Amino acid sequence: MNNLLKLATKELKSNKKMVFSILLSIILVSILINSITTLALSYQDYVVNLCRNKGNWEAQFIQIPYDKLTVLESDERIKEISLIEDLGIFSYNDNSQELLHIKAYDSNTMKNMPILLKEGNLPQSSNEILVNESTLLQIDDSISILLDEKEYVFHVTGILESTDFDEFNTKTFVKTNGAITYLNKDSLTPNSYLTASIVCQDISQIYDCTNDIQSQLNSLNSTPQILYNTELLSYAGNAKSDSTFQTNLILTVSVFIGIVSVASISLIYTIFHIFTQERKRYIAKLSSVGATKKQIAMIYFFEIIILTCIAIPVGILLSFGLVSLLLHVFDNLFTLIQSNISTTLIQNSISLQMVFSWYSIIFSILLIVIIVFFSVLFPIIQISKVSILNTLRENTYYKVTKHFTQVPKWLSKLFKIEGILAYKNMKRKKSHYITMVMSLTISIILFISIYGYIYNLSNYNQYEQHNYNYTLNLADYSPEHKAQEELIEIKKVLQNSGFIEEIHSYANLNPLYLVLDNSKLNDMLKFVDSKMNLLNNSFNKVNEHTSQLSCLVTTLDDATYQDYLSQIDSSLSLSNNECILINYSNAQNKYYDSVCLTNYQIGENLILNTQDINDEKNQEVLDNLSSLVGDSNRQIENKQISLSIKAITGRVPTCLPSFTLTDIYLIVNKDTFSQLFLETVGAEFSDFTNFYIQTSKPNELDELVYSLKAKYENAPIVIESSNLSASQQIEKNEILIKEILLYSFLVFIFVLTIITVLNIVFSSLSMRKTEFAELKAIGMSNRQMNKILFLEGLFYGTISLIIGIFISIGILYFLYHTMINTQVYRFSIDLISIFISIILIYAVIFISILYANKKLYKEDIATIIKTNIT
Amino acid sequence: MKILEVKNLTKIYGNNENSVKALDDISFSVEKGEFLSIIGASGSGKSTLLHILGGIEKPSSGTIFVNNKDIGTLTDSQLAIYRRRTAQLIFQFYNLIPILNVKENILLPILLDYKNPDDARLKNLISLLGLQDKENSLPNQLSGGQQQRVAIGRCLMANPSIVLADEPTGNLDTLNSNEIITLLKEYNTKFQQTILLVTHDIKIAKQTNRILTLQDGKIIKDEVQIHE
Repeated sequence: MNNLLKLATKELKSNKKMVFSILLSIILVSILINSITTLALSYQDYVVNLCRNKGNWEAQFIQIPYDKLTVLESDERIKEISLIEDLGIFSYNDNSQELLHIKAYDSNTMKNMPILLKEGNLPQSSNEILVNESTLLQIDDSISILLDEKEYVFHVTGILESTDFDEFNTKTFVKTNGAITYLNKDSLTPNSYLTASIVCQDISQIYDCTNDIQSQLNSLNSTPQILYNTELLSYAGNAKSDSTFQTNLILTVSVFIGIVSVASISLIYTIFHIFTQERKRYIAKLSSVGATKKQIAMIYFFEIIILTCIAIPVGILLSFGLVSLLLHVFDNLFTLIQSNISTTLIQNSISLQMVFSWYSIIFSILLIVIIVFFSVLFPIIQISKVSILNTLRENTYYKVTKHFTQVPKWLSKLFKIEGILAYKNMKRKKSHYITMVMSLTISIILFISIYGYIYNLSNYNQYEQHNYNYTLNLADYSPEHKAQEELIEIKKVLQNSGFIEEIHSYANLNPLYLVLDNSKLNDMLKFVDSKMNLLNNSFNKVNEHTSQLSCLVTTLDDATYQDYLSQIDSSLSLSNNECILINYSNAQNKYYDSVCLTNYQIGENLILNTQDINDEKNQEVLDNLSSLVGDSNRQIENKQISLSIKAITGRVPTCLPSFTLTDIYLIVNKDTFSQLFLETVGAEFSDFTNFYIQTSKPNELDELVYSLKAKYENAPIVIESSNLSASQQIEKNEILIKEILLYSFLVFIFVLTIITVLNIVFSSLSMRKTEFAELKAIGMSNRQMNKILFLEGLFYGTISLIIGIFISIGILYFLYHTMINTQVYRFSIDLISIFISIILIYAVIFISILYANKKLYKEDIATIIKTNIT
Repeated sequence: MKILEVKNLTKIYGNNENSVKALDDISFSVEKGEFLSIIGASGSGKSTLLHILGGIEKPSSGTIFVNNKDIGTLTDSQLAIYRRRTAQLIFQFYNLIPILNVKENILLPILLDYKNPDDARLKNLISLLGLQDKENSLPNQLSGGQQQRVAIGRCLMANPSIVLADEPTGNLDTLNSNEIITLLKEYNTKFQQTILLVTHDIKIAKQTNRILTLQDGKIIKDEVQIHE
């Protein structure tokens, strides 16, 4: 055994070029496989951290009595408990227009839950409070509230941008502002009810842990509701949660690893096969002096083990370097944007970090070893069975078999003798032909599939993007609209600022309800049935035959309205009580199919109800809120409104959310809208309050709006804004990152292809040196020889392209079905990717042939022939 | 009529101290229809001479006129045409193209010239070579003698001015060797084909019209054979 090992080592030292090729191939494969697994883990870690940034909790026990908290505290599986006490909703400072919803957070909650503190400090005691900026309170102000007939005074220490428990009731028009104080545990009684959010030591134990705690609490006659942070748990891969993310991640990783594995086996097999064939005579000589098949096989196995042991660690280390570099680049991309982000966007304050586990490394190593083993197994078996005599006699590499293909007549007519020679050369050795075609085909498939997938994803996402990047809410909430002058002034300032490129506005009534027979529901019914997870609350199956749709009666500002009408029909105009029914979920365009919602026709009447069929539940909420504002006995009355359909379209006005599958938009003129507003709300419709702006200077506009807020802080007006440009940029960046990753992957596969093709071409030309010399001796010119090589390249490229393009389209369609909402987005193929792949493949082949030709054919004919003879 | 004229031909391999003079200032001429053999010991320069005459190797100095044309002035593409149409080589190891069958190998020079082959002539030639039932066979399905006959057939099909045979029987047994020489003689006699044959076998050489003896790159003897 020692001698075989020594022989193997000697052989490796004497075949440096080939050894380098094999080493390089295994290193490349190691880099690819380990990079894929590491990137997947890093990405998962990143999204989990993003989720934790939005709220670091895994499960919540709602309304758990304080004295039962010991059950949680004694469980060793729990790492951290965050407590919230909901103190209630209060009016404050005798303010009847706004209420305060106060929650008390302990220190853990302050740390773990997102608190959008605009200025000031977090409360440190139970008489300190954070309030919403829309309360117009300042730091150091005081608030007095009545709780259990006792007056409590809070001292404002900080101003919040908003909380996730701010509310505006559309029926009572009462705004409830969130406020946060400090939870003083000393003030808690055994009957104080808390929300306890927990984080486990190991996230995979969350369900077992909560189930055990629940059992214990049940035995103590306590049954708090348990909520799970399903988003976090699913991203973390918790088995009992929604596994869509995990499944998609594993599927994606598996697909990429599968592709890399096939490409790698092809590459390593080719190189190793050439390696063994070149030493066939040497092996024959070994056999002739008594080496057994097993011993010969062992020599090769030792060689490959030595190479693998060197290449795998190098490859894995390099892959970590590469992944770190990639993530560093992505992180910088995010940082560049973060410097312009408004403080309301917190989700990208997480850094991208490389994460790996020993399991992933072991998995990568095992996979690489398996790939290498499968690649070399067949050549080793072949070479160990070599016939001594035939090998020593044989002076050509290629052994042409009996069943040799005939050349198609059209080919020999078109390309003449060069075509015949090229075609036959291509087909003479099945294994080389298959390897070459397979390598090229895999590259083509990968290129077109990945390029096409990115193309589909970008187009899909473009449609998701709005054509505005800034929103503004301007409203006069004084009872008799006394602040109209201020509003006009504000609008003037904004319009004259030069920051606004386009501005649109629309106004909705509260949702009205259309009860209709299911026969009136068209594709939507089938769509909803098949995509239940996309249901929104507006679609309601009343019974087997009847459904309820929510309708948004909408009007537009004058300019947007006129523009919209002219887009549908240049002669279209709406009279009172007429509407345009937007009957398609998406306007039909280059990328999207539309889902037709209803079967209504022009001229039909729609009878809309002001009351939701589920209004019994709503009444209870309304009663509670009404009593808080001292306005009891408000009842919901149902009114019926009739609108006649003047036009039916799929086109959505510029500023309306474009992607809706179950909401019905009804566009009416301003007069109709004002009339309906009066009927349903009981007040006059004064003016548009929501503005959708396209600006090229969102940050400057932000500063202007803040300055206006400060200027008019004492006026009874609402000025709220939202800078969407950063979040839109983030979405674009996410696509950019995916593109960078995928294109990087493509580059690697391309490199693998080049190495494979170069190896095959090099070895093929090298082995056919004598043959070409013979052809030249008979009278073939250099031009004719180049034509043969050119035609070989052309044939390989064309066959691979035909197979590759065909399979790529199939794969694209499969990806389209699994990863994109196919109900609305139309499948399309990017012809540019096909064109580029054609150019690239032929370029790879011809450059390889040119390079090999230049390197190999330096000697004259006679020398080559003489070398063959001797 | 002189078909070949060699003047002061020299071929030196290597340079300075390591140089070897394979041919040393040789001159001779060949008439059309001659069957000339070139003999000599190993390393005498026979194959080198043939390779230079066949246009697959370049001389260090001297001139070679074939059909009154100096082949030393030909470009690479002109040399390829020269090899295709004027001077055809037959090698010791046949050097057939393994992926082409017998018919295709024989027709190869014609096909390289983009000409339509004369099917009648091809048939006659194949018949003459005794390969009627081997037309579609590949070289690895033929015996050594059959392969050499294909090589000769390829040569003759091109109808060259000169046939240059470099030890065509070197790899064959006696029976096949005799067959090959007979074939060559027949072609020489029937069609006045000029043939230069390199051999180390004096018995084969004696079957030709003229024997040129080389030693250390020089012609030491040039004798005409008279056969009855």
